[in-house]
Amino acid sequence: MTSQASGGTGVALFDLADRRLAWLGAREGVLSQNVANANTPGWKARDVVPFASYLASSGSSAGTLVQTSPMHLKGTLPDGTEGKVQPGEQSPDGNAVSLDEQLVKIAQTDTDHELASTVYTKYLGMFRMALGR
Amino acid sequence: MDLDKALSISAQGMQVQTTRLRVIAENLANQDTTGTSPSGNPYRRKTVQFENQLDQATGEATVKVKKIGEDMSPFPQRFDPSHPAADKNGYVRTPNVNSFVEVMDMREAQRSYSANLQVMQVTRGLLTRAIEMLK
Repeated sequence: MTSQASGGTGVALFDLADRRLAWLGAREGVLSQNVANANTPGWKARDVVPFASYLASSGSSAGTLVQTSPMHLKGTLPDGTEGKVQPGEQSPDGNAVSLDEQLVKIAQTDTDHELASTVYTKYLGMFRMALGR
Repeated sequence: MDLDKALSISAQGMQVQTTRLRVIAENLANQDTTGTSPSGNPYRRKTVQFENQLDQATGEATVKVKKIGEDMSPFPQRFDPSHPAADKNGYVRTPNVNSFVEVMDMREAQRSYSANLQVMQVTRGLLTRAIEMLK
């Protein structure tokens, strides 16, 4: 069954929630790197590509990474990309990690993960109800 | 799995902050350690330097202590002719530890440590929620 055909039955929602959870997991990994390196000289905060572009890029083959440069290695999930450094945010040793900003992003990831997993569980519950179990 | 990696990265972050705190404790404990003879040096303040490290196994950028160096700034002098380490003019060289600097450094280490701890708690929450989806 293709994803187009399964879209009609609603199974695509599972696929979407699955990708969302994978993306959130990858993001949590990248954000934890930022916090661990909050005092490393020269380290700049990173983030993953936004979910929308990750989804668009993995439309046909789920989980493949867009190579924005031929120098990039092919990964399985969105990789960390260095964000723009706001002026005045960089300390004299070249570190540009705002702990508050990172913690806000982590809280966001937490909430989004809760949403995605709730959608998944509820939807599964509907299937169970239809099956009478 | 990314969440497991996130946990180990946070753990690494907490470990380097602990090392930093240990160095701060050494500095504060030795802030009055002078030499025993006029030629002997007093305690020299230690510094800690962090470095980003690429974990070859997971491909993640973790953090480690690059080196524990020494602060080469000059030693302050205090006039105390009766001290065994006093030179012929009566001055004793004292450690170049500034307790205010150390306390501020300690606060920063504490802040970074708790940030890592918070990341760890959130990551654990994500893992628990993923497990609950199986029920």
